[in-house]
Formats: sequence, C-alpha cells, structure tokens
Amino acid sequence: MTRKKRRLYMLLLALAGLGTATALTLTAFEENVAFFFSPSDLTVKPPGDKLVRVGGLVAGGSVVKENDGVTTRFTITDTAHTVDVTTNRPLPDLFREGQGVLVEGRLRPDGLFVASEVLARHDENYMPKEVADALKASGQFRPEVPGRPVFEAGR
Amino acid sequence: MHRFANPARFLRLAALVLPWVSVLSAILFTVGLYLALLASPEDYQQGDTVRIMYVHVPAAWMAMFTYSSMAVAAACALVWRHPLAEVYSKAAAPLGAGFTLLCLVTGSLWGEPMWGTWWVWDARLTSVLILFFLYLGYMALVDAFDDPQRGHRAGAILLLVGAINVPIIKFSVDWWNTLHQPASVLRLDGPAIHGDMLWPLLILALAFKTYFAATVILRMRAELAERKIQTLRLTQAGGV
Amino acid sequence: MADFFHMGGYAIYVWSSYGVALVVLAGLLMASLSGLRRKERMLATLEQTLPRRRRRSAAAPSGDEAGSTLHHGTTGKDKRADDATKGGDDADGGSDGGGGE
Repeated sequence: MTRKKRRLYMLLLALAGLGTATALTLTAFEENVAFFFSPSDLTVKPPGDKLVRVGGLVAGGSVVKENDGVTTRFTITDTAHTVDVTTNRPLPDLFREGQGVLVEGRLRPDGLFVASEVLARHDENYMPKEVADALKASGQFRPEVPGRPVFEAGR
Repeated sequence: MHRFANPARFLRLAALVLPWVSVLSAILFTVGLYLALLASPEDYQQGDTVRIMYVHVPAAWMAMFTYSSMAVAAACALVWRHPLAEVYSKAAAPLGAGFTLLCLVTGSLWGEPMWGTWWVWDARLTSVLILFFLYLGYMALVDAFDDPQRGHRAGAILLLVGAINVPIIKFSVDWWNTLHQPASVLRLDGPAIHGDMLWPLLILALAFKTYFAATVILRMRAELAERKIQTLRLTQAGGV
Repeated sequence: MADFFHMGGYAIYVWSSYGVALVVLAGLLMASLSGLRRKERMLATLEQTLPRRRRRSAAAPSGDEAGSTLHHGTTGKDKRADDATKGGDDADGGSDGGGGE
C-alpha cells in the first residue's frame, strides 16, 4: 500500500513539475505562439520589414476593388487601431466587411500593409440565416470579435 | 476498482454490453447522418460547409477523450498495476489516432473553402497534429521492446507526459490568437450553436462514442486473446 | 435532390469529409473485427493442441511430472516479474485466471 501511495505521489509530483515547466515555457514564448498580431500591436512594436501576420475585422465600407481587377484595398481594425491593406491575392469566400480577416505580408514605411496572403477568420457562432437576420433586425446580433493584442500598450 | 480490473469479469461484462452499444451506435449514426446531411439548416455565413462540423467536431472530441482516457489508464497501470489498464491503452490507441486523423483531414477540407487555406501553424492546429504524433509514438514505443512489460511501461510514461497537450489543445484558442475560432459548445456561457445544428452534432457525437465503445471492446478482447496465446506458447515451448 | 448532392457548391469538401469519415471508421472497425477473429482462431487451435499434449503426458507419469514442473516454472517466472513490478498481485492473479480458461 505504501509503495502504491509513493508511486502515486511521485507521479503527481512529476506531472505538476512538467505542467509548471510547460506553462512557463509557453508564457515566455507567447509572442511566438500567437499566430497573428492586432493592428494595435503594430503601433506598440513596429515590425520593420519583417514578414508578419495581422488580424482584425474588415472595416465597414473600406473594401475597394482597383480597376486592374486583381488588387483589393481594405482596412483592418481591432476597434482601437487600424491598418490599411493592399493585396493582389485571391480573397476567401468568407471575406466581407465586418468579417474577421488575417493577412500575411509586410508593412511598408508609408504605413500601407502589402499582403501576400489573405485568410478569413470566423467566430464560434453557428445559426440558420433566418435566425441571424432576426437577431440583426432586433439589434441583438453579436458582431465578430477581432483577436486580442499580443503586446499591452506601454509594455 | 480492482473488481473491474479482472479480465475474466471484464470479458463477461463486455459480452453483455457489446450488442447494446453496437445497435445504439447504428441507430445514432442513421438518425445523426439524416439530421446532419438533410434535416439541418445551412449556416448563415458558412452555408453547406457547416455540415463538415458534424464529423469534424465529434472526431475532435473523441481524439481528446480517447487520449485522456488512455492517460488515466496509464496512471492506473503505473500506480496500481491494473493489467486491464495496459490492455485498454493499447486497444484504444489506433482508434484515437484514427479520430485525430479524421479531425485533421476534415478540418483541412473545411479550412480551404472557409478560411482560404488547407493548413496553418496556429496553436490549435499544431497542438492537434502533436496529438496525432503522440498516438503514433505510443503505438511504436509499446511495440519497440522485446519485453512487452517494458514496452507498456515506456508507453504509459509517454502517455502521461503527452497528457499536458490535452489542456493546451482545449484552451489554445482562448490563450493565444489563432486562426481557429474558440469553442462553440463546451463554453462557460452555453453553446453558441443554434439548436437545429446542435442536435445533429450531439447525436453524432454520441454515435462516435458508442462506436468507440464497441470497437474498443473488440480490440481489448483481441489483446486479451493475444496474451493468452503468448502464455500458452510459453507453456508449450517449455513442454517441447 | 440535386441540391443535396451539390451542397451549395461545396460538394467536393462536404462529401470528401463524409467519405474520409466512412473510410476511417469502417476501416478501423473491420481491422478490429478481423484481428479479433484471427486471434480467437489461433487461440482455439492452440487450446486444441494443448489438452492433447496434457492427455498424452498424463498417460506417461514421467511426462506429467515434467509438465507440472514446467507449469510451476512459468508461475515462478510470473511471480518474479510481479516482484519486479512491486505489487498488484491480485490483479495479476486475475490475468492468470483469464489465461487459464
């Protein structure tokens, strides 16, 4: 019995140690684990000419198709800051104003983000169209949420 | 606990349970597939691709459930030396790997039309891929030793170390920015899925679970038979 | 009906998903069933040959002795393995009982 108890305690101790080590590692590398930054992050920590991913919502009324037929311009917002994006890549089916979106590319010195890839990001709500329309009509529709800032301002 | 860890008792109990879970699973799959493919509405923004959810999410749940149960069994095997715990883990591993593969492939088939990509290395997708490799690693490790007992010991330790990945999968979407959206069903403020879509999902989830129960019983019986064969062969080899 | 197969233009993605699910789940079930049948057949043949051996050895007293020492030999080995794992004797007893059936 004591042997079994000792084995149990050793196991629990080992698991607690492993859990702590993993938690510390993941917290230390949060910046690398985060898949994308928010527009606010770009103002806190400018990426220079590094390839970065930025995520947020497509600002309402910001989508402009250029006359060349391939270039699209739009603005990504996290409701605090915005970033202007231009891309000549195809857009996913879910891409629309108010939708979550994620762009990969480089921030030009003039502040325009040149995206080499555009992905759509949707939230966890699923419902039939009629229900969504009814919620929108009654003003109870929950809008998409942008990702969180990785860097806290002033850190 | 010890009572149920007795293989002979398990075999009797399994024989009693198997027909019920098999029939139940067949019924649940029939009803669930009808609801998922025909009687459920399209999603307001994802259209018909939402139907991929009805296989993707149950597969993901089973991938995590199977691994968690194997890790608990591994703890029981290491601490209390239950012989059935090892038999269970070995029997469940290929099923768990299958569920994880199914989750990854259907997720990819869903990601391409909706997100615009088959795969990204975000925290959720990456941690599920690691889960798949943990299953494969466990299966390889258990078979890698000449002495089955050492193989099972090493496998159990791998299962427990890898168990840290399960909460990471679950909470990755809350802890970090990921392309994958947060949980829709298992969340604090209740499901974010409309009832017409939630029902087919829950029924198919139960169908997967009963399928797992039936199949893991078959595999455990095979593993127990294998152990008897080994014992008999030892006796026989000694007799010659 | 055409709508059903068309899946709003996403047919390839939706039907592939269900196809993969069918292949994975049915494949694992079939493999598990055939594995069980194979093991049970092997066990049945082994159990058929073993009692004959015992019967034969029962006819010759010396052989019986050899058989019983062997049996003790294996239990002794199990015991040693058990000691090495330090405990869990009742559980192991259960597996022995299962093996003896």
